[in-house]
Amino acid sequence: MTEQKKASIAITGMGCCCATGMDTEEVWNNIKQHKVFCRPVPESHFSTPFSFPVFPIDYNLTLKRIDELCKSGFYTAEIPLNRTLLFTLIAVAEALTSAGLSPNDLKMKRVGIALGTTVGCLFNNEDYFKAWRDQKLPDPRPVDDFIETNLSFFLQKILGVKGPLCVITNACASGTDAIGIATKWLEHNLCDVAIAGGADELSRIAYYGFASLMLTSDEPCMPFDRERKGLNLGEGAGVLFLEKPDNIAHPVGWVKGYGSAGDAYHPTTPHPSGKGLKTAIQMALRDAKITTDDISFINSHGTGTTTNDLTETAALAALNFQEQSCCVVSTKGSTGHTLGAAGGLEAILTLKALRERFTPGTTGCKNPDNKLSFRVLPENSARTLAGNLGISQSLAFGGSNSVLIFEVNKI
Amino acid sequence: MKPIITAAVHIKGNNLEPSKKIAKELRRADSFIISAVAATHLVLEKNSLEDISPEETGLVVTTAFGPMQTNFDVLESILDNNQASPTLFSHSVYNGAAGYISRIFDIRGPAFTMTAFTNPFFHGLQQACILLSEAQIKRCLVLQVETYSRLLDDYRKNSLASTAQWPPGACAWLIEKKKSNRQVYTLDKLSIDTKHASAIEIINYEETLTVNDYQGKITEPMGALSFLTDILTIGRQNILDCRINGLFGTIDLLLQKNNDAS
Repeated sequence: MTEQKKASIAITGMGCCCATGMDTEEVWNNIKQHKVFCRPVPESHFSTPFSFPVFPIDYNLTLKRIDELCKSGFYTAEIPLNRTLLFTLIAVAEALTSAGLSPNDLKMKRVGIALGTTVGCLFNNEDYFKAWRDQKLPDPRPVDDFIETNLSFFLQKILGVKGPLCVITNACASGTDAIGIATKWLEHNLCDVAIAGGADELSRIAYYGFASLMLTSDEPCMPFDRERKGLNLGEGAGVLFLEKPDNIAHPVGWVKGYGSAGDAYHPTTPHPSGKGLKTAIQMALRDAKITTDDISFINSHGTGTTTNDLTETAALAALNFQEQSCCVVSTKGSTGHTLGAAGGLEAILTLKALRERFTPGTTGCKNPDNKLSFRVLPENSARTLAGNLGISQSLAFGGSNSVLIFEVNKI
Repeated sequence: MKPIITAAVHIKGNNLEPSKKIAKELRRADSFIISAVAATHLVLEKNSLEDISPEETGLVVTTAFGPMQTNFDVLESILDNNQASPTLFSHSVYNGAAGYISRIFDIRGPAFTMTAFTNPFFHGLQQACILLSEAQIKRCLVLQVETYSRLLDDYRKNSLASTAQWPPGACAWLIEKKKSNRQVYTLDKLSIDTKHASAIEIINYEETLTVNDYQGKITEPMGALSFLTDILTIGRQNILDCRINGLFGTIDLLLQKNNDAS
């Protein structure tokens, strides 16, 4: 039962892109149909002898969408090399449009920008690196571009706005934390509106790194399935447009609560009992002034690694979520693991499910592992949701655990 | 409630020898993580976390360039040997240092790693103040760590007519919201107005730092923070009215010594 009404932050727009689609409706419709766009790493991204498939965005589609943004006047500067930034621009443009705003509408407001990324803050231009180590004098543009395209700072420049800024790089929890941070900015009156979410691109370093940790699958991933083999990397962006609740008549939904806590356990492995995740969920529930009984939907981190799946379900069972009324899914079987973008993307998918009072089952999960401590929805069992409150949660390298609670209006 | 700064440290260099207490934990760590952990160790020696539960302590690690050399070491290994070391890869992720700090010092509250090419520490400090205003967080550790890289050094040399190398190091501040019997500084004001800068402006780093009557030129990404940390540590002045100003915007900071910081 809700103890006391909390003044939530309104979500008035959202936008995303990933391998599953180049806007929110396309992504959501493809997820509902369990379409899987998982394939070998395209040559346009990088070459590799490994056979771990990924969820890539077609580079031509990205450029086509950016070209449309240029023609519409949303973006007029030189096109940067940073693909993470291009995904961000695509998602931000959709979020603003869906909020019924143009960049000009933001000029007189204090606009907070909080974006999460992992690969997007690394310099990973291989041609420059190779030329430099061969003691040649490479064209400096890739480094110039890297330094000038810090996500939030660059977005602030092209939107021509003022307000608090942050690029959070908390590995796979980055997007979730960015939304949580922006929510707090609004609650503390540091800004009037905020753009928050995450973005990341596929990179050779992350691809080889996850392979070295033996976390990647050589098939499309199968979160929570007894035959799962690991995760597939993906790329994309997911961005919310947030506003103070005053005078917002018809928001997409509300950010009700946020919690973040650490495992203090291991650099790359979550605590087996989900210690930090439990604390983060409890913090978010307290922040939202609700209990586990109020939650009808959980979009889990659900990467498709054994450790993740067992940890997450152990934490949910320990916190006494109700299996009968709370549907747990993973959307990574449809999108891949988009790292810093995942929190933003999955926040949007949580809102879509809550708004439709419907969730598809977990793409790739045919036979749920019987070692899971909490029941999850397999692919063939779509459900009507019992309520209007849901959780999107992220676990990350470094032992970070972050949780957002969303609410949608009763329709 | 005004946050109070109960301890601050500034360490210099890139090849720090961690103390024996923590050396074992760091035997596989890179210089970015070692600097971060060493600064944390020193700041906590000044004011330990024992009286506050692990969940009540937050952590904000900030950096301009992150573990850049480690990232290049991973890339080199991939290009030469078609493989990455799992340890090196996990250290190349920006929040690797926060993970080490959390584990070694048992900090289990929110842990954020934030990056900005100019004055990241003060963006992190702003976030730490917000964390402290939440009921459940009583103390927060804020750091900036920089180790740079050989590629960045060469890029700067080639882009600028003449340049001195940026000094690596780390600064850590411990901020709290409880009253203290000691003479500590309260953070009375923090405002940040950011301007977007070009790459050449950032690598040619130039700002003016004003503290009370003193004015000095800052020429590196951790310069203003290092100076402020040093004068905080000395603690002679009762009021530190600070402004960091330049092409990257303006940061105003007012610190006031007070032994009744409620």
